[in-house]
Amino acid sequence: MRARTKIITFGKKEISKIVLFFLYRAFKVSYYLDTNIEKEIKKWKENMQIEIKTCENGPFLILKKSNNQIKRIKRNDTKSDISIQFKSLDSAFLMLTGRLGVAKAYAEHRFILKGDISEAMSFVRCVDIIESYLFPRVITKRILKAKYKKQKSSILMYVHILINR
Amino acid sequence: MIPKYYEFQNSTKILSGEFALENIPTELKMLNAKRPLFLSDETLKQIGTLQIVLDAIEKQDFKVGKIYTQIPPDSDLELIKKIAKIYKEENCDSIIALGGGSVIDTAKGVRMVLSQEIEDIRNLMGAEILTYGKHIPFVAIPTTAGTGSEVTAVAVILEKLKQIKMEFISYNLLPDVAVIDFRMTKTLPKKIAASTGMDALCHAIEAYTCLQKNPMSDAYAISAIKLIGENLIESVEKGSKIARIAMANASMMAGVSFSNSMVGLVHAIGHALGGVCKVPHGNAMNILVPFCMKYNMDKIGEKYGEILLYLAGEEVYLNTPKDKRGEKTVKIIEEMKEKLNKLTGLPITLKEAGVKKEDLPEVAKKAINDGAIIVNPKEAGYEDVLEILQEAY
Ligand SMILES: [Fe+2]
Repeated sequence: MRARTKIITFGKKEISKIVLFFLYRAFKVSYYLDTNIEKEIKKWKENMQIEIKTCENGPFLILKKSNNQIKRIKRNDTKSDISIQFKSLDSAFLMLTGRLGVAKAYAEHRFILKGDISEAMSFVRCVDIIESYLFPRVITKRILKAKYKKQKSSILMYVHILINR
Repeated sequence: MIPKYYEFQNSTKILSGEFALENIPTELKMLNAKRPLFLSDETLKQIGTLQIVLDAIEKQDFKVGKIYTQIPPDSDLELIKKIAKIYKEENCDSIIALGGGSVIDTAKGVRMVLSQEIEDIRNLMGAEILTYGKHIPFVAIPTTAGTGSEVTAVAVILEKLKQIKMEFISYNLLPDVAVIDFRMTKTLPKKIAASTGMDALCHAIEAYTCLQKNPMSDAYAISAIKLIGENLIESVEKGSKIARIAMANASMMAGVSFSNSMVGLVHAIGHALGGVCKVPHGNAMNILVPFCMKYNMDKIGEKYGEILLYLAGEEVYLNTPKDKRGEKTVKIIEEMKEKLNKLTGLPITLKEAGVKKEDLPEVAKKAINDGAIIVNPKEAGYEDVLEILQEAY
């Protein structure tokens, strides 16, 4: 591998880790900040576990619902109910940096989806809502099919993500 | 417009037309198969369709390993395991599936169990999990002209215990050979020809307009729509050989198209209607398609307008102003619905299909969790779907 490729890949991995952290925090706090997210997650079964893997051995995020809370699982060796594994880090990076929506990524076969597809739909709706908070409108206009009526301001969401609980 | 990225695969070999069935033994031999397990259903056995295929195969001095015809209209995991066992006991080395969507999906399930060499396929649910596995030669012979299952990378299998429909999407599900022969759709009842034809039309329209349309899937979708526009009514009304073969081809091409570009809102709601109210798939498609198109109109009306040329022909297309073409396409489909209704009694509204009004909320709830809704170009939530259902009632 060329040095340049190595550096870019390293950079993409590091940025992905940060975005995934924000995504996790956003799931956690939007559960009590946004009633639509709350409604969706309430429907998930107890101990429902969802993972996003940026590539085979790349950065990942595993979310678990337990005791009406979203927790992060740091170990990579448990089986999730739903797994979204991107076929390449670059594809994952497109999505994590707001250049590709989840729906489009799915349509483009950018990831392997393991599990019950109908269960995954609720997760997709949550990600769409969270993206409306995390990304500015110029981005969400491109990647989301409809404008979401935010219940709180993005700034408030970010404040909660960074400092709350 | 070329999408930024797309994937496409259709590796199934197509045999279509005169004496296609007679070529099955040669195809099997080329796939190194000697003892196929032959899957079909009781109806096809009773009306003699099965015998026609057996004759065509046996007269080439080729023997079928074992015949199994107890396949009900809903594929079920337990049955699949049972058939896989029979396959092994009978030392079969390949599969022939003759039937509609259910028989072919069952065969896909059996092949999955055998090629992945595991009993419990529940862990393989989802999109693109399957690896290539052990190769089991697989010939599919469709007897309806609608599902396109003989060329799709999808299998839906019922899990009776938990009452869930397991969905598998993988290019490794594609049959090796699909055989289209007039003798197979000759006996198709008019009403089924009508409803499955409308299903094929929905596949093509949704494939042409959904999020992952691409130049390859477009080519198949357009050809399918053209054949349907020219042949559906005739194939129902007169059942002529040319029209029936054309519809079988249309259905297959629409299958190739949607297998790569996926289906959208019409199917999401249709699947839910099937699950909650047991409306047959083709009937649901026929009822829903204009209503869903109207809902999507502001987002993809232009693409619906492009379809008009293929569905209704040059004259209608050129005589319709550009901005009215999308609506005209819907109008043409509504007229097709009327005609099919007169010819076969195919229901036009949900009410006619025996759906209870109080079930609509449950249908809407299910529809928004269907995988097809994600690739619909326009967002559709619970309220939107409920409104569409009420309009279609
Ligand atoms: Fe369909």
